[in-house]
Amino acid sequence: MAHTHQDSALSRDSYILKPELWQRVRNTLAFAALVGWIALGAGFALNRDQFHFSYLVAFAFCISITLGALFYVQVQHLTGSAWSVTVRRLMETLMRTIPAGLILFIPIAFGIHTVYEWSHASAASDPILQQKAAFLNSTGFIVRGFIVLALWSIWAVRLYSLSRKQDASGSLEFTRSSEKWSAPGVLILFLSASLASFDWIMSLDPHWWSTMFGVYFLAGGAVAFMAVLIAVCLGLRSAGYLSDAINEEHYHDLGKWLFALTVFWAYVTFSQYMLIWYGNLPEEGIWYHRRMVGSWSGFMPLMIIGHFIIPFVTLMPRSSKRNLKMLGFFSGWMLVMHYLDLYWQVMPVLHKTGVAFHWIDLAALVALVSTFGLVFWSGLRERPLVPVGDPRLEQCLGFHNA
Amino acid sequence: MADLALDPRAELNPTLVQGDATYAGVTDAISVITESKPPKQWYYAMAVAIPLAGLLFFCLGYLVMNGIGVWGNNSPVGWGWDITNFVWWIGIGHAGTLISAILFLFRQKWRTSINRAAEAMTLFAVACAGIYPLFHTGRPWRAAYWLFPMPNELLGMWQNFRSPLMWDVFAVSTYATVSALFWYVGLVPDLATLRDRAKGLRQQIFGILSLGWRGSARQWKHYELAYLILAGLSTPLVLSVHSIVSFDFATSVIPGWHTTIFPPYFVAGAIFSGFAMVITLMVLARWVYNLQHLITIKHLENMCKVILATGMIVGFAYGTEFFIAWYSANQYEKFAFLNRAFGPYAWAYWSMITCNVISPQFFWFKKVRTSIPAMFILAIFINIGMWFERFVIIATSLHRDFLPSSWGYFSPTWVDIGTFVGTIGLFLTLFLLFLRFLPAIAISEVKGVLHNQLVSNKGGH
Amino acid sequence: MADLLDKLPLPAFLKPADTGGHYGVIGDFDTPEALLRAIRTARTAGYTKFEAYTPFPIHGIDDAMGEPRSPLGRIVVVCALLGLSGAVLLQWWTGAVDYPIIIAGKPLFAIEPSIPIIFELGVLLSAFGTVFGMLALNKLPTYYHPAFNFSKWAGASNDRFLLAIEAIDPKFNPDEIKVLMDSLGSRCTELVEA
Repeated sequence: MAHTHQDSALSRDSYILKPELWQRVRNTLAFAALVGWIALGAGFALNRDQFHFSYLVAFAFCISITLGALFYVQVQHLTGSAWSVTVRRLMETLMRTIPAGLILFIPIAFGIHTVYEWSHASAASDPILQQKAAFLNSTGFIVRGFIVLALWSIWAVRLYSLSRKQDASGSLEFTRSSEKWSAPGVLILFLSASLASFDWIMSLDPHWWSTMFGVYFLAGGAVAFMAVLIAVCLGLRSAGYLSDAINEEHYHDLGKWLFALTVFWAYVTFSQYMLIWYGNLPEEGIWYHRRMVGSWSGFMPLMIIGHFIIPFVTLMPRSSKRNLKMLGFFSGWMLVMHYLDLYWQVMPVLHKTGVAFHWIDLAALVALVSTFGLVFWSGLRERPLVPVGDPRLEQCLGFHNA
Repeated sequence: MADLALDPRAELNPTLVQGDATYAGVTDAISVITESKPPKQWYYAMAVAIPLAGLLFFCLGYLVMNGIGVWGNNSPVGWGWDITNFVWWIGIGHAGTLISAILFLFRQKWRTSINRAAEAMTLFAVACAGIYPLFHTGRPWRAAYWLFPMPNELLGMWQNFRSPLMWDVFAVSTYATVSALFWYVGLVPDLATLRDRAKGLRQQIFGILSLGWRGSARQWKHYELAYLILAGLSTPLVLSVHSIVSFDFATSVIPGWHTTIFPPYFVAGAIFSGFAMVITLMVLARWVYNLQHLITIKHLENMCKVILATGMIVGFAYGTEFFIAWYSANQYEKFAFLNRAFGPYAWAYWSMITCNVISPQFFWFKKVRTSIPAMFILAIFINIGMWFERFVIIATSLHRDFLPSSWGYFSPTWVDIGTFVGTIGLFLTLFLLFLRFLPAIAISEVKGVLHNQLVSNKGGH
Repeated sequence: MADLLDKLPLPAFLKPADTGGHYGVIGDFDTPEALLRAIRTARTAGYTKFEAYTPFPIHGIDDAMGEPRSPLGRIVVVCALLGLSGAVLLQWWTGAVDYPIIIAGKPLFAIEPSIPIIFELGVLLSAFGTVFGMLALNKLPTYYHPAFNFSKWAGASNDRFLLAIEAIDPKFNPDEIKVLMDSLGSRCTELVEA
């Protein structure tokens, strides 16, 4: 409401990355991708079981972050947020990497028989899996996978291009049509992302079910997305970009979101666990039971302390949300925690007796993160880092926390 | 920017205080309501509300005299309308907290002219909700010993803190207390305004109530932080309260109750029904007191959007539950859901779907979102639908026990109906009294919004 | 009516003070911006003991006055910890020590079913800490304050923005302050009795 400040004196930032800087980062990412994919290729040849499981974790990690971005961009449009305008282009560029998932999904489609018990021959003699066969079958899995990825891609591309068009014209009509796309978009995202989480992760334990699982997946992705966003902003800041456009006030808000999402994740995780603990039914408890065998039992305390208590206590004071070093540390920390969270959901199916980290885990993570990173980075080439045509930009630049 | 209409930004940041508003004008418009005789409409509304509230006290008296057998609850449906109404009222209260706390944290400035009334609504709704479990004990005068950990000779033992019903006691009483504190803290500066305008005894009363508030910069400093912290506390609190209410059901192993999505699904449903009730009440308040320039169509439209969003989440949860019931391949789960949709309570289930999933879809259209009669009718439908949701969850899950010999069907008695209608009467009575005697709109907050508006108009963009 | 009021033992904020001292000089400004300018000027002029009275919180007034941030947050943290630990003790002692009884095969004390009450008591005590801490920091309730004696006091909760420079200020000189305030746009400047 109060754009009380002077117009252009608010930001002296350059919104376009210097070509040299852009190339340097691109080269680093390309090198990491090259190394990652070669290592991953070797992993595929040497240990196919491990390859498919590691790939699934890394894929879920990356795609959950981009879904967080898709969700956030749409929510910003729906609520007409002003505080987030200067970071929105970075969110949008993250979101714009979703179409890469269409190609990167292919190894998962090929790994069905390795990874998912319901696709094994033994499933035919399992009466419970027989009843589920209409849903849990390879064709359905692949078709649904591509459909949900295509849906997210349509929205990601559409919202991104609306925002880019506004850069040139500054016309309000793009804000309006972004709002129009976002309303059904959020709904479709909820439906399709929970379906995807049922398919990709929940069906690893094909007898088990939890209605909360989709929310659990999205909540984790949202935390990790916020962490990535903070990390990207800080990275650009250290390279000398956007230090006015994303100032302490904006970081304070990003920090609040990181904090709030961590709490939300804990709420969802606790509710799911506690209800299953309390009900104490064998067919439900099995999921947690399987994940508490041997050294896996350390993961639950690790999640409670590392994914919740430590960030909760540390990020609570106002001063730490305004402390950029602290935020930078916790953005990295939460990403590690999100990876471990997914790792703990997936890997006990392969390593039934205890934790067994494998070099292919790392290779898959490097390969996929650098690939998504490259797509993201190419979106920043010679394009403004903030939505320069957004009518709320000025309000955002002058924004001050109450 | 002399002419707001010429600036495209005006549409993004609509004027929330309409007309040629001044600070004094805001003070007058709101204070005068409490200082003068209420309009005719107020008496009409009271004439409806008070007899209904009387009915409540009659029904409760009758219940205490005769025992809870006068309600329709019986095996296998041991929880009937009482818990349905309890959850319904608590849920309605949640919108008030959402508006006062969550929208405050999200800096949604449009909340300012409705938050006070919405918070009052929370308090009255929680009071109505509390009546049901309290009287379900049959001997409400002894309830304190059963509900709160007070050492006593009566029981000689402690409450079972591992029971979700105990969690509920703590959640609801904390919620009631914190909401009341939040509301009162918000009122203090406005009570001081009324004090400074009044004379005589009225000044003494408001003087005492306003605690000697002076509005000094140092006071505002602590006050603003206190308000922010209370908002920060209320936000997780409101999530926890309805989550814990949902635990009452979900910790059991009854098919249809025991499902992990219950906590967020109950919270969304609560906000959904609560906003419907806020729209109902705000339309009423506008009609009684002509507050069109303060509670604008923009406020109402935003609430319609929140209803649409939460309605979709509720629909999403219905869908997920149904899908997972099939996916679980568990015969009890499957039966529970098929029985819901096609069993003896199918009429209630499809009423719920019509009211909760279909009726909010009209809010996709701006014409509907900005039409007072349309939104009023839809809001009523949603209130009914959310009542049915709780009834469907409670009655359909219980009426088919695990043994077919214990199957049954719940029918309410006249006392059930009278108590429910009676709490609506009590709620309306309290709300109308609030409108009459206290500043129904947060005067100091509206002035803060007006200040921003004046500054940005003058700023000349 | 007025006579009757004088006889009643009511809070004294209406009654004129009978001490001879002065509270300070109060000026009456039109807008928050004028008030902020007056505060900055007064500070530059070397006054230290002043107070502003406004109908709504003014953004930036703490900076202008050089006020430190409110310590309320720390009070709330202490209360929250009391609530959390109290809830653990309550549930553990009543359930596992004083009256141990197994219900529904659940452990006598476990963290899972204890979380809801731990959370609720934490919030409840934090809220008490917030509200009563705020009242204590603001010294409320205080039913008499000399600022009420200002003849245009009612404006402070309506549409006026008051600045008081208090008599305890080492540089206090009513005449100089009156000239300063008038020059800054005060509509009514008065020496107010304590």
